[in-house]
Amino acid sequence: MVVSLLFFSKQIRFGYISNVIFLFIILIFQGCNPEKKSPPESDSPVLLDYGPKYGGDFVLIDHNEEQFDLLSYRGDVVLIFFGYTYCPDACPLMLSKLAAVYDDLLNINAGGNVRTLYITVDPLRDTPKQLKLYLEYFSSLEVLGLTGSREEIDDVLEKYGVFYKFQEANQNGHYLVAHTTSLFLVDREGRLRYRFHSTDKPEYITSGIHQLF
Amino acid sequence: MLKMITPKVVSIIGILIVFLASCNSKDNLKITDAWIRATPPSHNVSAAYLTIENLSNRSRELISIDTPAADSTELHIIQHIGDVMEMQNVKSLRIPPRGKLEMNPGGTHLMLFGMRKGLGEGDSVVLSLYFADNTIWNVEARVLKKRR
Repeated sequence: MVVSLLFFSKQIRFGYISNVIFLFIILIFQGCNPEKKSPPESDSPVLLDYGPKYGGDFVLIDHNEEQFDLLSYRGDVVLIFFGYTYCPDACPLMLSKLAAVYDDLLNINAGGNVRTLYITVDPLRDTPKQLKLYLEYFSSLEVLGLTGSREEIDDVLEKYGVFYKFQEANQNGHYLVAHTTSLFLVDREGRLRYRFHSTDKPEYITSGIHQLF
Repeated sequence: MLKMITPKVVSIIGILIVFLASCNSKDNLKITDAWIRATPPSHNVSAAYLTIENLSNRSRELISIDTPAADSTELHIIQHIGDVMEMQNVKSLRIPPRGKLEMNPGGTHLMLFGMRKGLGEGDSVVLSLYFADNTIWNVEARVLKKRR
C-alpha cells in the first residue's frame, strides 16, 4: 500500500507500461477492498465497520489557511471526497450531487450536523486560495477544502484507501489526475462507515447518513 | 437516342439525384444540447458537452474540436477502474449509423485547456467540430455552471 502510494506520488511521465501496471495494482487492491462491489439493490446502504486500519483523524490546512483537525468535527457526521480543482468534469458533478443530498437532509432536520470535506489529491496546484475560489464558485453548500504537503495528503489518502495517478501532461503542460471518486461517510465518533460509489443516488447517500442520527 | 429519355428514365434519374443529395453529410447530423461548464476566474480548464445524432446509414467520426475560447482541446472518454475514474484522450469518437453520441458530466466529454478568459453563465461560445469525412460543424454552446 505504502509502496504503491509512493509510486503514484511521483509526477512522472507515465507511458503505456506504467498504465498497465497502474490498472493491475488497482485491480489487486479492489480485490482487497471490503466494500460491496455490486450496485446496491436496496435503497439504503448497510453501513460497515472498517476497523482501525481504514479511516481516522488527520490534520491538514483548510481553504482559509487555518489548521484543520478532523477531531474538531466529533459529534457531527462527515462526508469526505477527494479530487482536484483542475477537474471540470467529475468534481462539479459530485458537488451538484451533494447539494441534492443536503436538500434531502433538511427533510430529516440533520442538515446542520453534516459537514463536507473536499481533500485535494494535487496539493501542488491546489493552494488554499485555489480551493476556496473553486468551492465558492461551484458549491451552493458549505464545503471545506483541505490541502497540505504531498506527504500529509498521501498519509490521508492511504488511511482512506484513495488512489491517484498523475496523467501525462499535454503540450501546454496541463495534466489530469486519475483518482478515487468515492464519497466517504464518517460517523459522529469519527469512524469510517461507508464508501459511496460516485454513481450512487442522492437518496441512497441520504439514507446512509440518516442511519447515523 | 432521345427515345431513351422516357418518363421512367427521368424519374430514375430524379430519384438518383435526390439520393445523392441526401448523401451530403451536412444534412445527416443533428447536434443539440451544446453547453460548456462555467469556469471560476482562477481556473483555466473546462469541459463541453453535446449530443450528436447520426441520421444517416453510415458511421461518422468526430476527430477534433476547436474553439476560440481555449488554447487546446481533447476528446475524452472516462474509464472506471473500480472506484477510480480516469479520463482518457481518444483520437476520435464514433457515432454509429442511425445512432447517437450523448455527452454528459462524468462520461464522454470535450476537454478544453487554457481557457482564454473566465466563462460565466449566460456567455456562449462557438465550437467547431471536425469530422473524419472533412465536414466541419459549428455549434453555439451555452455556458452553464451545471446542466439544467
